[in-house]
Amino acid sequence: MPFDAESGAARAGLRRFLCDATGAAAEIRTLQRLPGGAVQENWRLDVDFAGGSLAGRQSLVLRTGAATTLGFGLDCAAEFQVLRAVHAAGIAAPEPLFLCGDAEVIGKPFCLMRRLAGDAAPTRIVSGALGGARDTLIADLARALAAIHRLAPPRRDLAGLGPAPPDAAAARLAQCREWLARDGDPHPVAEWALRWLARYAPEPVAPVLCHGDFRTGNFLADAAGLIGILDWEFASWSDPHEDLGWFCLGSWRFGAYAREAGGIAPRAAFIAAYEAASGRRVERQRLRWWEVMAALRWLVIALRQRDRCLLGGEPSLDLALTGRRPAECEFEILKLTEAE
Amino acid sequence: MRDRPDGATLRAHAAAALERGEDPALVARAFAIAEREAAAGMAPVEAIRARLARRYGEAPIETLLAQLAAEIRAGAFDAEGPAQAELRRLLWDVTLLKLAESNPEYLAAARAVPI
Repeated sequence: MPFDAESGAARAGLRRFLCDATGAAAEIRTLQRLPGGAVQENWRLDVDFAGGSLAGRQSLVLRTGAATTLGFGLDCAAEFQVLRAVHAAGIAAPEPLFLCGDAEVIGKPFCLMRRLAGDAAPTRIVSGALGGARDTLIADLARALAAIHRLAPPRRDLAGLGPAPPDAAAARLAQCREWLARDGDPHPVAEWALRWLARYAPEPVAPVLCHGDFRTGNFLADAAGLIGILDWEFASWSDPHEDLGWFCLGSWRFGAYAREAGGIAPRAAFIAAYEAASGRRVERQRLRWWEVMAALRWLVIALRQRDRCLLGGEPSLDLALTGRRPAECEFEILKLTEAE
Repeated sequence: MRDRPDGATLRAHAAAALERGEDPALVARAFAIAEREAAAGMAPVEAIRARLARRYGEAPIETLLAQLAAEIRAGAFDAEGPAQAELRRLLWDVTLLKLAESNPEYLAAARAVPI
């Protein structure tokens, strides 16, 4: 069910929740869907609190699941745990405020966080329309990613992530194989990728917290640089190279294909900044493996996004168009797996 | 061979999206894919089908692609050599055809950068 912001019951439920959570009367001033967020819905929520823990006018974001789901990724509660952990670690991310697991309040579970300023629109970030230096932004992103990767299991406060897999690469490969098998259409390039990935699988490494969807479009920035990293629903314990490979995937360069690090900077500049910030050495072959995995994973996610529209009945042209994006992934797979 | 939704289905989704007031840029992109697909017609698909038919015998394209996918999955092309080289050529040809219809801007940008 989509969240119906016009429903009197949902608004009343939300107002009651805000009052109970803060101990003060709350008046909802704005409740408006924010752009983006194919997997989760984000709503701009401006509230006047008459006292309590958040006294005054507050700019918040209400985050909840979309009408149909991908069938994987963290639930609201687990994502909230991750946000709490990263925010506490000083990583640029929205401050999580409240979690509501009771589906009766607005129709489904949701969480509330502080709204950050800045712009997440990929084309404006990549084109430089926000102003500011791209090398500042890439250095900020590299530092933030290094900080995320400093969080390592075991962490009781991150129980929602489940146990760390002994071999993150093998686990991801098995997951992709299973997703692909469920699709009714033949995908020879994806099958080729599965074989290549199995053949060149890297040795397991000590897992760290990975964002899982660390890319241009999933962070807020302004002329001064990075403001906050968004969309943590794919976070998991994994190989840090997974986030690096995903960030560099061709699909996330938004027209600036030659700037391989998210359409923002040359790959070498990003890797150097990450190595300096993290103290880790990036292994080029391992990175290549995870970039092929990124292409395959985005391909199978695109197929599932397509099915949310074609089979799940979610009326979204964006989702329908995503069904035509596997060709980009196939291009990247073939390019990356060219014989040495 | 083409990814779903096909051009006609995309057109229908785009028309509905237009009525819902969705992003006009997305609507334009959907119509453009449908137009490129219609302009290309079935000739490029038939050319790929004919190449596959030489290996597997006459059958519809989706059947042949499923056979190819199964062979890849079984490891038939793991070893470097002529069979793998031919497979790579075929996969590239299919991919470039699809990308030229679905996202020619991506293809142009990617091709401008040396591999």
